[in-house]
Amino acid sequence: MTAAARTAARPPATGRLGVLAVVAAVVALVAAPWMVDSYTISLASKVLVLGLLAMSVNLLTGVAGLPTLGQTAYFGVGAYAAALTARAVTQVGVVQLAVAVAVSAAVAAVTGIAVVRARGITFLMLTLAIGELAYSAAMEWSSVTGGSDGRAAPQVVPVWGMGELLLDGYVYLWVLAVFLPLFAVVAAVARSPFGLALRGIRDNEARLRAVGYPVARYLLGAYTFAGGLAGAAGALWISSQRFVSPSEIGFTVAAMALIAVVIGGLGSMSGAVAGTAVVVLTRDYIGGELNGRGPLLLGIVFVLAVYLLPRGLAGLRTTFARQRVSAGAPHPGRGGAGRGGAGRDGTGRDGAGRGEGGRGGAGGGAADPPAAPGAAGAADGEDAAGAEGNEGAEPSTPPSTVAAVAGRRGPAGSNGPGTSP
Amino acid sequence: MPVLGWLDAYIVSIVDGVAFGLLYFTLAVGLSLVFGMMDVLNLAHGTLYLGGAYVAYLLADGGWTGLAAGLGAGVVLGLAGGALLAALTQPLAHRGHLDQALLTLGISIIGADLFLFAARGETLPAEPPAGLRDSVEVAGHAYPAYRLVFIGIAAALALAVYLVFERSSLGALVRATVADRDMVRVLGVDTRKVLYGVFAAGAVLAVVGGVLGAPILGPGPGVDGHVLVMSLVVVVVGGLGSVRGALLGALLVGQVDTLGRAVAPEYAAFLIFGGMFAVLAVRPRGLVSLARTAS
Repeated sequence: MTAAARTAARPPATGRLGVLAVVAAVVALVAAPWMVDSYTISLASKVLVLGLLAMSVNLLTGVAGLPTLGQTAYFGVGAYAAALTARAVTQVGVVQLAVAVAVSAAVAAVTGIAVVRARGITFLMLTLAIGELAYSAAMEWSSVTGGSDGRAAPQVVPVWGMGELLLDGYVYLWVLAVFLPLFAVVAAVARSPFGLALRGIRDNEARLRAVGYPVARYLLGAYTFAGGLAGAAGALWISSQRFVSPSEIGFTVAAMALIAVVIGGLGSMSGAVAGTAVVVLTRDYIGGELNGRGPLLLGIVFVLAVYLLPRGLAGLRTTFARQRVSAGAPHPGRGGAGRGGAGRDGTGRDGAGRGEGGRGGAGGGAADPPAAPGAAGAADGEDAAGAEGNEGAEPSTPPSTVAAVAGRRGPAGSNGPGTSP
Repeated sequence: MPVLGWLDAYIVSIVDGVAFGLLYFTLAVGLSLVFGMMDVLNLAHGTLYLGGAYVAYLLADGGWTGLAAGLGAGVVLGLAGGALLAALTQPLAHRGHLDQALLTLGISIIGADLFLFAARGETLPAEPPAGLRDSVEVAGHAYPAYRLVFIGIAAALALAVYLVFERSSLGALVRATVADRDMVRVLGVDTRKVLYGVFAAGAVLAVVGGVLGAPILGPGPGVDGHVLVMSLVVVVVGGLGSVRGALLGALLVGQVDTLGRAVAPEYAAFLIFGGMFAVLAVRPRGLVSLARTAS
């Protein structure tokens, strides 16, 4: 995760124009079945369902700073749970949805206990293993999952008393009726004190821990919530596609969800859905025109997006304004903000604890040298060697080694980008 | 003697487990060292294996020259692939490790689709040399001769990697870079050269693993993802940045994979899951870990 992505991740408060845009978007979404043909509308259902999956990925990756390739596991648990419920118990959609959410959230809570101890790329690695192992489990546990043949489900009846939904347009409206409230809930959670705490953990876990937040419990809560959300997406997948097999929950889908989040912009929920639309259209719509070479195109789009859109589609809005202001400084304001915070709460850890702060911190120090020694020194009593360096306050990570050594040689400004990782 | 009877029933699976374990080791060691050193998770590592297996398929002519040509081409391909991946991820180093991992993810998707195009979605047969196609007797069971030879070659490779890593001064430099990259840099070593070297060596190992492993786990759709995940589990179980850990983890995972599949076919995936989480619960950094910067 980049520092720039983090600063841009908090969506700006919605103004009057924003409200209008939201209303227009909802109206367009509701009116869609009367505007387009049935192939397009079934593609739109797919975008909404996978958009929910991408939002669950985004909640962990963008908001809590835990990059994941494993949400397909919970998506799959939800899909299989919904399919089995539909076959054996009831066609009623809300029941399938409730069962899927409950089961996938429970599985996420149990697996999460082990996973949320990891951070960063290790987390990505673990969740990738979870996703793939869920795929193999779906393949091999054939008495429950039907193996590679998968499980089909009957048409969905949204609530008691309604008829089966036979037309793609009605299915889409049912998916939309679940999608919109869930989107609102997730957006609200991302902006709630809980969501803010998650962003805080992402930006500076040590400080959050020091001021008394139960970090592990928050992350497990986020993981469980995201698992339930992915499970809801799984139930809607059954409603709209009426079929699930291992290939629907495989690595490609996990990669697509993460790609959608990155293209959309980390931390932005509407960006995640927009990114999903880009991904689904690229793979299924344009890819269909290119003899099924959709994944190839998707891979190329993704590689280009990683290079050219460091903050995704959501970052485009702010990129130009930001560039005009900062004029060359890599992470404007971060070093200063980190130092001020370190002085206030006394934990002595600033952005450098995250590994890439060496550069931002050093830049800040160079721009504003008098503040650096005082703040770091006051914040940290144990590490005398680091008293002159910004990063010296955290003894256990590599940047501190550089800072400690560099700090003995001279003032903080001397450890420029040449020594940073 | 129930124990002997059990052993007799599963001896083939156990030997298979050693073969697959060593196969996973050839991938895991590069993955683990690159990750332990510069926190770059190379999600295209399985693609390197797939490339090697595909080269073996293309060059296999049923004789030893085909295998030799495959190995030569594999080394070249590995060096080129490793250099390319290192060169592509390097410009993103200042943006953080997630962007680097995402880039390799994009590359792996491109690689998988190109392979799908070339192979038309089928698993391609890569025959071992003619002399090794038959079965030999292992404790009273017929067993493919090539797998035994593979176990021998892969064990020799693993031993060579282990000796270079643990006993040579070059290995000491690599271990030091894993443990504390910045301190090594401060001592005046250009750590980028070490990083590139390990990246290239890891890629060569993965591609050579693909060339040698093609008759066992042939080039097919999804193989790249499978070997990537198995070697990730190996790295998680064994511990980051350690050759010994990778070897130990690989042999364990190989056994759970094949023996588990033989004993409880429906639950093999859960066994690997459960084993990984059990190790994580007891030793969060894996069985053997040198890397201090695992976050």
